[in-house]
Amino acid sequence: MGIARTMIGAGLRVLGVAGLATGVMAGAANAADTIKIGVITDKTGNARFYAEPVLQGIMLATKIANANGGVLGKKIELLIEDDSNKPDVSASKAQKLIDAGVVAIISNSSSTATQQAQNTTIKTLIPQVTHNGSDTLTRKLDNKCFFQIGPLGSIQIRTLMAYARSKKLKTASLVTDNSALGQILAKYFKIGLEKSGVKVTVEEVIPAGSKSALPQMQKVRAAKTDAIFVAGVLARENTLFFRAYRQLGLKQPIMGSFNLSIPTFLRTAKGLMEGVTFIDAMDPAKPEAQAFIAAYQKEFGKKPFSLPAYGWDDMNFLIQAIKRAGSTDKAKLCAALQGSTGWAGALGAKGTAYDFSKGRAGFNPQGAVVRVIKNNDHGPVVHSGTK
Amino acid sequence: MSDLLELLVSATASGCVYGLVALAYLLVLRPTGVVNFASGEWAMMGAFAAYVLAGMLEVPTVVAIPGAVLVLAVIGWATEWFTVRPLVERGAGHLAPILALLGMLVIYHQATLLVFGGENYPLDGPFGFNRVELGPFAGTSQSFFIIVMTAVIFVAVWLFFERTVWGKSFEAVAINRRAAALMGINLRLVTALSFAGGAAVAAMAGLLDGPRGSVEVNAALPFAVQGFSALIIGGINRVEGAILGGIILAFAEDLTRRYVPIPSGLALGVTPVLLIAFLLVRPTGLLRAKEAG
Amino acid sequence: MTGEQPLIEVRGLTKRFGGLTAVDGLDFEIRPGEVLGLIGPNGAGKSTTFNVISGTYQASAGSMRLDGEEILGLPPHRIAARGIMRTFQHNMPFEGMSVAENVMVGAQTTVRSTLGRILLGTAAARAEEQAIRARADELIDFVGLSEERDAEVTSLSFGQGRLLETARALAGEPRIILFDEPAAGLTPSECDRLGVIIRGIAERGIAVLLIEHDMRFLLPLADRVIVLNFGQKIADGTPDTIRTDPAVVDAYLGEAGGVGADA
Ligand SMILES: Nc1ncnc2c1ncn2[C@@H]1O[C@H](COP(=O)(O)OP(=O)(O)OP(=O)(O)O)[C@@H](O)[C@H]1O
Ligand SMILES: [Mg+2]
Repeated sequence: MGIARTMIGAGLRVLGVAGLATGVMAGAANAADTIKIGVITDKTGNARFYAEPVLQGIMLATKIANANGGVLGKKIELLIEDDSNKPDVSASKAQKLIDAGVVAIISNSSSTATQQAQNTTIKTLIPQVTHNGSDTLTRKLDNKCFFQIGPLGSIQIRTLMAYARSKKLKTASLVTDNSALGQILAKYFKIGLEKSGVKVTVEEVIPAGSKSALPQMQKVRAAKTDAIFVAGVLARENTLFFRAYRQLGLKQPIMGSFNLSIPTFLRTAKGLMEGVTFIDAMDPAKPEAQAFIAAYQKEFGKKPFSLPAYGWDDMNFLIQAIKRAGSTDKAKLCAALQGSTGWAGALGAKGTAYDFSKGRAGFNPQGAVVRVIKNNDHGPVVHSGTK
Repeated sequence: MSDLLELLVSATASGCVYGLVALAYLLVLRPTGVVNFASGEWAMMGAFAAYVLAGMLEVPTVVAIPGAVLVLAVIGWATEWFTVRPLVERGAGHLAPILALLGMLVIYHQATLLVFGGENYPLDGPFGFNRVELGPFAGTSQSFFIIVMTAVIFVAVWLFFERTVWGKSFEAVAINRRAAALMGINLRLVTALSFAGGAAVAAMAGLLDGPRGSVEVNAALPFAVQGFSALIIGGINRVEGAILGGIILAFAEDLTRRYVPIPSGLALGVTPVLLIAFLLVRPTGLLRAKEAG
Repeated sequence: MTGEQPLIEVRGLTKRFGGLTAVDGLDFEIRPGEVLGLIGPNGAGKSTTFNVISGTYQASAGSMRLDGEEILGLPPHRIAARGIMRTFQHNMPFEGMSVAENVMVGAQTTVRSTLGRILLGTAAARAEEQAIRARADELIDFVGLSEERDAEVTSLSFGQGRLLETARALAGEPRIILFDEPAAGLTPSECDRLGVIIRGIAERGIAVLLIEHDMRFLLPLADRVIVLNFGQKIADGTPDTIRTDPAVVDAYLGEAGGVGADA
């Protein structure tokens, strides 16, 4: 068991995804009667750790749709392109996919690469869908056929801050690492906390490559704040944080970013994260999420975390619109996507659905959730929404 | 005060890890004159070797640790054999082996990345992270394990160099290669063993540190920088310098982060400042070459 | 002594540097316990002969047999391991080490314990280390450096450095020891001491190959002398025959002003 599991573990990104790929591709024998959907993903760049689980969700949704007879009587054929998370490559891959006759493109890469690909898709108004949460993606260009379905970064922060307010915190410590993303998140956390009337009394950085976070956490302990916010994104340094927290016998609640939902922590900081709360986009109590979880579990034999659900929603968002449009014509599809308000995916708190009536970023602002780590696993939702 | 005592054990353990990487540099540097920045990669790979043995193949720790060390010793040996030796024997200049080893650094890094990806893997320490108290000092069992293992390694290496004819021969090669060869010392063997020993010691650094944070490819560069800094601080002439430099560096870092009232982001500057200070003021490091008698 | 088998037999030894033939078809042999002098004017090829024998330079042609086995062309450490040890024309101590440590390094080829056993510190390995230490001490006493045993080698006088080189070479338990101008730069009393030491070495059954310009030092010591000029052997015989050989006097001794007179 040990060896088998771990061997698969080591090659999972390759094997798991490749296994699905053959399933998806095999169903698409004759290109003429398929609906081609393009995916620009990062397989070799620095966003691949996020992109690959998402791609799994995209493929799973495709496989299930094809198994159920396809869409409009046709099978879906995925054309997958790697952009290495490089913006210029992303744009040229978008053109390549358009030339290959795709009806829509899913962008599964960083926000800069996704933004750059928009410069290509806007020219032909081919529908482009992403789950990327950057707030600016729908603002820089007036691209009527660009849709964003994941929770925006600002919504994630506001949700966590709403949770903080519900806990009536007065003071907080803010711990991050020296990565670019960790620094940005810390900045937003601080602004959000101060706006919510929570005073940030200690700010600590755990530099990449540290051997211990004890000195920083001693300062946190000395400050006796009501809570500790973790904005760091580096797995190793966050593990040092949790270890020092335990070692110093700290008891304050820990509140973290979406990053803590990555399952790596459940292994590297195994048993150290009990009671930690973090932002997530998936509510296991939501029926649509349960359907996704069941499908994933059937395919892979284990519980999913939320990243594959993003891909699952990307694809199902397109499928429901193609069905309603009754056509793969890009203008009709674009209009159908625009009219998707009320469609509920696996993402979002129980009872919430996508809403495109106010813009092209359709994730319901009340849909992000705060979950708690329980039994070394992602546990139930303890808070949802930005209020 | 209790904070300080609590910090001492942890900082000493961190210093031990730095010191081991510095020792890996030193073992290769002395007889060959080559500064091997791939020492950091060796540490990272040692942690991965331990992860494969203990985490994946579920081999008991008492076997996994020497196993991982042996794997790296073989890698170190092979590195000398295939990249450094051909250059030296073809009479390439002094810079050539250094460049070849930088090339190996990239190869090690990319190869590990290819196999394991950029993910983080957990590595269990043999005694976990229980709180252990030793008089006024408190720390985790892993910290004490790191300290004890490092002490054993340094004492063993020190005894080897100070007390054995072989150790003296290694030193002789460091001092004068030509004369050493004419005294019957096999330069090839000494060089290959230095690489094997360097890689083995680096592996210990990696696998002792692994349980604290996790095992990842990105850990290599910090190891390389910290070990190099410790080497410069302690001096390249003596084995004791490596551990002294490591512990000074770790204490400077941790005490600054804990007690100096500057934004904690700025505390990052401790290592480069120390490094530059030593390079300017005392480039020979703290410990000078030994004065006999 | 002459009846014994030669320990080392050199035939046709040749070393060229580009167009220059520094050693040209040299033949000689040495027997155990024999002191063989090697003389010749500056640039005659004496040091080059040593360098080729000790493996520092690759010979251009020739053969060198030790106990009948060809050893020319082996790397230096192999040749040293066969029992051919040398001192240098310019002292080459391991700076930073003590006198005793230098001598111990010379004993490297005699270590029999495997590295694994040494690292494990087995009783046998430790006993061997002890034995080597004891022998190093003995050799230091033999050359008369007892007072300087623990001194760092750079603190030694030039003459003491010579003696150290000798002790270090002896530590490798050589069968042949090569001295390159050992008396150069020594005071008369140091010369005398060195002469006694070299005789003592030969008495132990070790063959001595001695390059020396100072005839007053060499001739009383040597059992036999060969003379080189422009890389070629021009004479080979006892000190007495060499002293009077017209070719030698012409090429070498003559210019030194009738050395034979004051020997
Ligand atoms: N490495 C070398 N490259 C080129 N020529 C060399 C080299 N070593 C020696 N020679 C030349 O070979 C010849 C013999 O030199 P060698 O040093 O053997 O002379 P020697 O008999 O030891 O002289 P001395 O009495 O001055 O020590 C000289 O002409 C010298 O210049
Ligand atoms: Mg000479």
